[in-house]
Amino acid sequence: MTTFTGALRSSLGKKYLMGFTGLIWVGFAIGHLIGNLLLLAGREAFNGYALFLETLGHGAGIYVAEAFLLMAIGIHIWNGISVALVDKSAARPIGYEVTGNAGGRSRKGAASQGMIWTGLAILGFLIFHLITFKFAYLFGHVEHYTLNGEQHVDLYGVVVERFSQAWYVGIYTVVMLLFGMHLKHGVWSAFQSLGLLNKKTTPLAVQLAWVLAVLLSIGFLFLPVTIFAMNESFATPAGGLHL
Amino acid sequence: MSTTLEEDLRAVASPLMNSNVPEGPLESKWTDYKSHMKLVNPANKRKYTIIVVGTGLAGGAAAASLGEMGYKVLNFCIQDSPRRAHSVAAQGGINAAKNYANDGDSVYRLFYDTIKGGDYRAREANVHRLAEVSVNIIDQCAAQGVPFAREYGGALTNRSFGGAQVSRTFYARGQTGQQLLLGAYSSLMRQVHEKTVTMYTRREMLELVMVDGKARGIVVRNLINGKLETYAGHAVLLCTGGYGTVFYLSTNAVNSNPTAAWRCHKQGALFANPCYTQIHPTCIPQEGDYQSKLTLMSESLRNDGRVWVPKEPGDKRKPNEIPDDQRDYFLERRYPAFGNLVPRDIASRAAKLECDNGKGVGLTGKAVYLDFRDAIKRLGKQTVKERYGNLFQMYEEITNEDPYKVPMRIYPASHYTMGGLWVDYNLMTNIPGLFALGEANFSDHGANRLGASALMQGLADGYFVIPYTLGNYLASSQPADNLTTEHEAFQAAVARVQEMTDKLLSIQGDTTPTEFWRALGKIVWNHVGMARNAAGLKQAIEEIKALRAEFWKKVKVDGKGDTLNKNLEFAGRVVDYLELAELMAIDALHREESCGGHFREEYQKDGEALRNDDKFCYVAGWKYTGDVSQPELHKEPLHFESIKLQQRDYK
Amino acid sequence: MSKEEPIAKKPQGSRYTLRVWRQAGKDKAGGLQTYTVNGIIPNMSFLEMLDVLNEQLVKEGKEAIAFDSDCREGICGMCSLVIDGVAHGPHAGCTTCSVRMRDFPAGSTITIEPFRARAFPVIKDLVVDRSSFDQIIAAGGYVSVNTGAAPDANCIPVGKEAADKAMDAAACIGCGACVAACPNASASLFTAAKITQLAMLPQGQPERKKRVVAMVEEMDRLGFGDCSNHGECEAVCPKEIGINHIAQMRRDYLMATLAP
Repeated sequence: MTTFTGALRSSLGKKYLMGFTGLIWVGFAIGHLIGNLLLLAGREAFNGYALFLETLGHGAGIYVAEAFLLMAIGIHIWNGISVALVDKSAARPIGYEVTGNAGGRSRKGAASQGMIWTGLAILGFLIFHLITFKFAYLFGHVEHYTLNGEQHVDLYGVVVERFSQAWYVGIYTVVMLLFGMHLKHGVWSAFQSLGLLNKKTTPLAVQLAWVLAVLLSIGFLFLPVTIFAMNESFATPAGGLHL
Repeated sequence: MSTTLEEDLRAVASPLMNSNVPEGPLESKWTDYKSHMKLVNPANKRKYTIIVVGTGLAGGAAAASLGEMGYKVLNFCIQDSPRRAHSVAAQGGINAAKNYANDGDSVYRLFYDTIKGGDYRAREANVHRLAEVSVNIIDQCAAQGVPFAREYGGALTNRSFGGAQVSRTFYARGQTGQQLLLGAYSSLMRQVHEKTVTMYTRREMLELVMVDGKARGIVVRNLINGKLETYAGHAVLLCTGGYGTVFYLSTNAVNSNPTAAWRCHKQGALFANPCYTQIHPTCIPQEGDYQSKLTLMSESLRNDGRVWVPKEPGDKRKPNEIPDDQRDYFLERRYPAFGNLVPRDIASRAAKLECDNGKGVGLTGKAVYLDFRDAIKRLGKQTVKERYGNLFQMYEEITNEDPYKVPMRIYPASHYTMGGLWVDYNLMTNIPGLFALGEANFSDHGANRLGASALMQGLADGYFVIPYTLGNYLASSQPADNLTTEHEAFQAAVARVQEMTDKLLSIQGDTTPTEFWRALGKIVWNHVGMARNAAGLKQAIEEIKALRAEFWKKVKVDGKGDTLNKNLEFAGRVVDYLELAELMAIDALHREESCGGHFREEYQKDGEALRNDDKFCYVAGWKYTGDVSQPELHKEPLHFESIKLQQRDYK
Repeated sequence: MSKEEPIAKKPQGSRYTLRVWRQAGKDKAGGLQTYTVNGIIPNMSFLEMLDVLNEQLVKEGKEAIAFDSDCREGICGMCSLVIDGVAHGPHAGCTTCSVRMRDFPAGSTITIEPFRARAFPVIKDLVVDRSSFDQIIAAGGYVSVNTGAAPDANCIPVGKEAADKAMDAAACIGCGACVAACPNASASLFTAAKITQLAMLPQGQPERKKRVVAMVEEMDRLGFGDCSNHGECEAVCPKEIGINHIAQMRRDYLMATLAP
C-alpha cells in the first residue's frame, strides 16, 4: 500500500499540496492586508508594526515565518508548474484545433485556465515587491529613523515614496486584478482539492472564493491608490490619512 | 393432449434435437442433475481454454464465472470495451421470484408466468431452472454493488411488469441493464486483472472452426487492422445476442448482429424458431428513412402511463384538447384485468390495429399516446420523476416534447428475438462443444418473452447454468488436448472468410450495403413483422431471394480489407441478414398457427392468437443444407408435465 | 430492390459544412478535411447526419469516415467526438448519438475532432482507443465476490439515500468525455465515479482503501493528467456526474494513505 509521502507525489497528492500551500498563502495575504491598513494610521503605527514583526521571538519569529512561507510557495510553484505545464502537455500531446466551453456547470474559464499565468505573474510581482520594500535597503538609499538608540528603516517612508509613482501603482493594479483571478478559482479549488467539498458545500466555497478575491484585491489596491491620490496627507512626518 | 398426439410428436422427434432434459420431478431436476454431473478437477481447469464470444449479460457473466473457477478464458467483443454490450440498454428491470413484496410470488409462479407468457412454446425444464436461479442472480448482483432501488429501510424494492400480477421486478432507476452489465463487467475486469480472462476487444466473430465434429475455435476479424485472427479452445460459448436487426428498424444497437450465430448455423448448428421475434410496444416513432435505430422506452412506463387513441379516426386535435370521453383507452377497454400491462405482443398488435384503423396520432399516423396525466395527478410529479425521470428526459431530447405536459407518442418496433441457435438442457447446440447463451439461444422464452426476463435469462445462463454444464461436457467428452491454430481446419475457415471478403470488395457496384439492409428491413417488417399471412410470407421469400441476387451483383463496398473498414464489416452482416431473413419467412410460413410474437392472420379468434397445439407444439430446428432456400426441418416436441396448455387470456 | 421504394430518396433538409479530422491510422499524420452534406432535417441525430455523409462518400468512391457508435440511445458510451470544441457537442446531458441537428443553425460549419488524450490514442479518423478505462476498472473497480458466494440480497440493507448516491455515481457510461473535455486530460471524474459508487455501499467497504489507492495509481500510470477543478468534465458528462465525486475520491485516497 502506498505511503502518505508516496501519495503526495500522485496526481491527487499534487493537488493536496497545491490546495494546502495555497490556503497558507491566502491566510498570509489576509494578515498582510490587515497589517498594511496600519499605513492609514500613520508613520509611527506602521513602522511600529514592522518593528514588532522584526523582533517577534527575539528576532527569530520572522525568519521562521518566512521559511515556512517560502517552503509553502516553493511547493506551490513546483506543483503548479508540474500540473499545468509538464503533466498537461504530456497527457495531451496533440491538442484540439477548436476549443470550446461547455458552459452550464463548467467552471472552466480565464481564471481556471490562467492559474499558471496569473500565478507566475504573482510570483514575478512578489520578487519585485520584496526588492522594492523588504530589501529596498540593499538596492538604494532608504531613510532611517532612530528608536531607543537604534537605527531602523523607515518602511513607511519607503512605501509612501513608491506609491507616489504612477507606474508603480499601475503595475500594482494590474497584478492585484490577476491576483483576484487567481483567488477566484484558487480558493474554492483548494477546498475541492483537499476533498473537503460536497454538493452542498461547493456553492458556498465558490462564493467564499469570490468574496476573498474581491476583498483581497480591492483591499490591496485601496492602499496604493489612496496613497497616490492623497500623497500630501501621507507624506507628512506623521503620515496616515487625514481627510 | 391425447396419447396419440404424444406418440405422434415422439415419432417426429429429430435425433439431432435431443433435449437431454434430466429425469425426475420438474422441481428437483436441476438440483439432482447438478449433484450428479461430472466435474473438472480444479488443477485441470487451467488446462482448458474456453472461448466466450460476447460480453453482454450472458457472455460477461460466463467469462467472469469461468475465470473465477480457474478456466483459461478468451473473451471477445465487437465494441471497444466489454462494458458496451447491448445488454447495457435494457431499462426496466430483472425478474426474480424473491417474493420480497409478499404478494404470493414463488418459483412456480414465475415459471408459470414465463411459460404462459411464451405462449407454451418453451421447454418446461429450462424455464423452471431459470425461475429457480433467478433468486441467486439478485443476490449475486447485490453483492457486486449493483445499486438496486431500495426502500427507506434498506430492503430491495420491486415494481410490477407486463404479463405478471405480482411485483417481482428489481430495478436500478431506468438503467437496470446497464447496472447489471457493469456488475458483470466489473467481475470480468477483476478476472482480467487476475489474468484468468484475456479480453479481445474490437473483434467480430466470422467463422466457427470445427475439428472432428466438435467446436474447437473461431476466426475473428480484428476490426482495427482488418486482419483475420484464429483462436483455438476446448469449447466455444456464443453469447452474441439476437437477430432483431434483420428488421433494419429496431431497438438494437448498430453493432448488434446475428453473424456469429448464422455462421455457426452454416457449419451445422440448428437454428430454432427463427420466426419468433418480439416487437416492443413502447418505442419512440421513426422520423425518417435514414433512421435505423429506434429508441425504446422501458415498458415499465405502462405501469403508470395510460395508452390511448382518439375515439374518432383522424382527430387532429392536440392530445390535451381531447376530453376523456372522446379518448379510447383501448388496452384497458379490451383487457380489463391486465389493462395497460398486457404482454408485449398483445400491446403491440393492439396499437398497430388502432393505427391501421386510422386512429393513429402524430405526423405519420403511426403512433399511439402514452399518457402520464393521471399518474402525475395521483402520485405527484416528483414521484413520477423518480420512477421514470431519465426516460422522460430521453424522450424529450429526441422529440423536443415534454412528456410531463404532453402525452408521449409510442409505436412498436423490433426489439428481441426469442428464436436462436437450438440448445439442449445444457445450453449446448447440436454441435458438440458449441454452446449458446442468452438471446443467442432459443430456449427460455418460447414464442414471446415477458418484460424483465431477458436480463434474468442472460445472467442465469452465464452465472448459474454454464459453469456447471460446461464442466460436465469437458469432463465427459473433451480431453484437455493441445490443439493449436496450426491445424488445417483453421486455415480452411480463414479461407472461407477471405473468399467472402474478396468477393465483397470485388463487386464495386452502385448500391451500399446499408441501402440493401434498408430494403430488406422493409420486406421483413411488412411481411414477417407483427402480423403475417401465407401470401405475404411467400411474397417475402421471393423478394428476399431477388434482393440477395441483386446484392451480389450491385453492392458497393469502399476501402480496403486490411484496415478499419466499417463499411466492409457491415457488408458481411448484410450478407447474413439476407439469408436469415429468408429462413425467418420460411419458418413463419411453415408454422400454421399463431403463438406469441408469431401472429398469423389466418389463425386468430377475435384478434387473439390461436395456437394449434395438436400440430405445432414443437420447436422447429432448421438445418443448413448448402442451399439457404432449402433448409431441413427438425423437430423437438414440447412436453408439458406441470402446466396444462390453454389459450392465453389477459382479459 | 423493390420498385415502389426508392432507396436513395433525398429528404428535403438543410446543408452543413463539416470539417472532420481524418487520420489513416494510429501513427499516421492527420488533418481536418472539409465536406458538405445535404438533406439534413432538424430531428436527425448527429450520427445519423454522419451516416448520411458516409453513404454519400461511399457512393462517390471515397472512404467513409470512421467513428464509433453502438446503442444510439446514449447508454453504451461508445460514441465520442468533440464537436466545435465541446465533447459530445452543444447539448448538455447528452451523448453525441443523442444530439439532434436542430441544435445547429442550418448552413453552419461544424468542426468534428476525435477525443484527444495520450491515454486515448487515435486509431483511425474519429475512432480512439479507450481501453485505458478498462484498465482503471481492472485495477480495483469491483467488489471481489465470486459467483455463488453471495448472501441473500436483503441480508445487507442499504439505505435509500446511500443507494441513490451510489446510483448517481454508477450512472457513468465510460464514454471518456470527461477526459476529452478536461484541459489537462484527467480521468478523475471517471475514476472517482466508480470509487464513490462502491464507497457508498456496504458491499464496497472491505476493499475501499485498497481500491482507491490501486485505481488512482493506475490512472496516473496510464498517463492521464491532473485534475485542476475546471469542472468542464461535469458539464460535458452525458450522465451529469458531479465533481463532488472527485472530492470524495480525494478524501478516500487521503484517508487510505494516511491510515492504511
